[in-house]
Amino acid sequence: MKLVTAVVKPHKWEDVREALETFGITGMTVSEVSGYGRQKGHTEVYRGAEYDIALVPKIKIEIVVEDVDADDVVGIVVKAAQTGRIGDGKVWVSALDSVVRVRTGDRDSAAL
Amino acid sequence: MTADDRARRTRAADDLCRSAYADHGVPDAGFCLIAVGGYGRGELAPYSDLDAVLVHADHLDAGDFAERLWYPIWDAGHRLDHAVRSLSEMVDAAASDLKVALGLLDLRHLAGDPGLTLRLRTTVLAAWRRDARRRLPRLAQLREQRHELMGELAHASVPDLKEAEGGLRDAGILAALVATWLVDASWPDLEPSRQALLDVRDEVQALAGRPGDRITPEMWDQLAAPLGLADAAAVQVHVRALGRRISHLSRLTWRRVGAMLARPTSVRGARRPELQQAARGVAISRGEVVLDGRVAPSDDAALLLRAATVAAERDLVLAPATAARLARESAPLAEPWSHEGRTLLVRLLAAGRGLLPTWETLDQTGALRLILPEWDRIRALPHASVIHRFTVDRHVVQTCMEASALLADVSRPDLLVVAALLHDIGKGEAGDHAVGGAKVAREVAVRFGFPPGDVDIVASLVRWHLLLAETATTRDPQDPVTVAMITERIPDRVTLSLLLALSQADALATSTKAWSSWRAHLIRDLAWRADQALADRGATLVDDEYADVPLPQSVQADPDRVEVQVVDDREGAVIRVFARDRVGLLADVSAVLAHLRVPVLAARAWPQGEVGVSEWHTGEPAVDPAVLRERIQAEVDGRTQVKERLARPLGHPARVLLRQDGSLTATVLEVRTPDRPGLVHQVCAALAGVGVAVRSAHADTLGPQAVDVFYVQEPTGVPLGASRAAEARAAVLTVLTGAVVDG
Repeated sequence: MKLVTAVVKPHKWEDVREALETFGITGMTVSEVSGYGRQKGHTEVYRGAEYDIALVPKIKIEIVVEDVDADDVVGIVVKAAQTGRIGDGKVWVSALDSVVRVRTGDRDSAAL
Repeated sequence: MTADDRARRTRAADDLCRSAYADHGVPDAGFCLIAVGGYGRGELAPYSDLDAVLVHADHLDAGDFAERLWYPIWDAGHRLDHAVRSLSEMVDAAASDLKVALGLLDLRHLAGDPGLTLRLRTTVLAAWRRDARRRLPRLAQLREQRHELMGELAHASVPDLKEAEGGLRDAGILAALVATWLVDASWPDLEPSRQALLDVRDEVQALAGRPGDRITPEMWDQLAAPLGLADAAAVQVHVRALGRRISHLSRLTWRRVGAMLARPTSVRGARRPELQQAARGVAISRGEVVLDGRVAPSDDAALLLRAATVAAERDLVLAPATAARLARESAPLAEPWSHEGRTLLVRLLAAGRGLLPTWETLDQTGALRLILPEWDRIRALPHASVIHRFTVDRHVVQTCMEASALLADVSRPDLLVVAALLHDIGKGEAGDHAVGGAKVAREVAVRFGFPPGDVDIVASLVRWHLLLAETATTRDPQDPVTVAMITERIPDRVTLSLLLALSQADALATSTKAWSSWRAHLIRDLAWRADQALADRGATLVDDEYADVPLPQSVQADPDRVEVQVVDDREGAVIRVFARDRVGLLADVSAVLAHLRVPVLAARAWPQGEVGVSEWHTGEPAVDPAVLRERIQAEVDGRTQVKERLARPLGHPARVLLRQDGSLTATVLEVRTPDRPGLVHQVCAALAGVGVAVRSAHADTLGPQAVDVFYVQEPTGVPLGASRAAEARAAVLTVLTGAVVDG
């Protein structure tokens, strides 16, 4: 099993979710996060109030999938989240040792 | 279920207790059986505990009567909360435990020695009265802790009819406060609400089939039929309104307790009410805002708003009797409202913390209908979305309170608070509440007397109050199309900055999550991009406009002569001052006005050749032009130095902006700070101090906030360079805030 983690622009979250649901992914964990990559941030002054835009708001999506599905899911996320502009985000895949469904105690594939 | 059902249940329980007492041979002398708490009040709910105590005289022993006494009651299926205590044990327990003391205030004789019950009751009540001053602070603390934990009955999503703020416990405590004889509460106001809430509680228990006082979400619907109401929404409105009424009475009584505890116990001198004058027709008596009797509500339509504003700004109780009288007798404000009415309303809305209790009093006494009849549309209306922590009306008040902290973020704080008040006025109707609300807001803003341009801004803010928040999270802020979506709807920077402030206040009033740093960042970023786009369209360079006025003969003949004209108008007076123009002239004139305590509502100043003309709108109709002329002439000639004697209050928050979109021929400084006497003078003096000439000034008091725009130049008549502009800005900031500012 693999953990697919994607960090995407907030407004792309609905598109990503729809695409994943069409593919058959039924569950995911979503969080509001802030961070920066190559685009970096800088400080803006708007209406007298200075605010730090070094940390850019993003949505983080985490999905656990079967090994065979990992590449497809990555492709779907990338396609759905792409705008071609700086700051589109990242997707990465990591290996998982095991997964347990809390309610039943089912393990690994049965727990997905 | 009604009071009759509760009485019937109580009678049945009483019979059971009495026969148990009689059947088990408890002696009639020296023993008594009493009911306490809700049972004592005769208000048994379907699944209430029976709180009963067997009391015995100190020299007697309860023996084993007690054991035998309780069995038949248990056997009958009642939940029994029982105790056996001697008279002194009871008195001691009441003295050491507030909850016991409160329960005993409602004690009722069931069986046995009535003399013993009477002795217990008089002892307990006397002790309660004697120790009240010492014990009430602790009771207040317990109440606050309970509210913190249980939320408000009027707003909690799963309200607890007993423990929530505005619930049955608060109503019961009010009775205990009255029993101290220190304060009074309006029983005819409280009791019907308390009984109605008991009816709801009984139905909740009947539905649940067990004890408990919480209304779970699915119950709203089920409660409609037994309570004789149309649907779940009607039940919500009913319960929330009861909670609000009890909350209001409870808060009011507790504030009186606080004021009473703060006063010394021994009152020396005459015991007549002391009236401290606070505004025309309004006075403060014992910490409450009342009428001073010199102005009749029927003669002065603004009296209601004036009293409410005094209460809100000073965070005092608006005496309910005063509010009720104002509601009954006030003449309606002539439409469109006067400048005074509008200013008072804005000050009231911008008062911050003190707005809530004052607004509640206006609402509960019906006085609010005179100010905003549209309020009924959203009164106690539940929000459709669970993210909201308050009902619509309470949310709106909260939005105004949040907005009051953002006054310096905008150039039109008055429009911000009025839009905050009206932003959800379209809720409760079918269709998009922002569309319907904008229509209502437009009518209301016209009635408040705002000029057409301001009415448009208010309507636009209400129409688009969700635009930034919705767009920021669902569209790509880097896409020019997204930015265009904003700028097409909000085509000017003033409205945009107002919309950002309104979005923030609205979100903060909704829930802390709605203005997380994550969401705030997205929304601010979008607003910033839209603002840049509007700025790039080309700054709208508007120079200060002024129409020349005829110069008096005397000034034409001798430009060194000062001339003063006073024209009375509907709102007070306009004072027009002519004098030879020079750096520091406005500082001199404003110093004399400040020294004479002439309140300045708005000011305009402009040059006409050698002569500097200034117009000062003041709320003070009685100004003697001859006296004023002499004083100003003396100051201008340097014979007096009034400006040296003016106190310079420092430490006020202030924002000074260099406006880019101002003028080609002058540098534009915008000063935003809480209004106070002498403010215009402070700014003018600071500018004169760095040798900057004020070409024209546009000072406005927008509710509590002054927004003053100064078109300034070098004495040679050219705009300031960047470093000189920064120097001028720093000088003004320093004189206003007391802080040393780097240019």
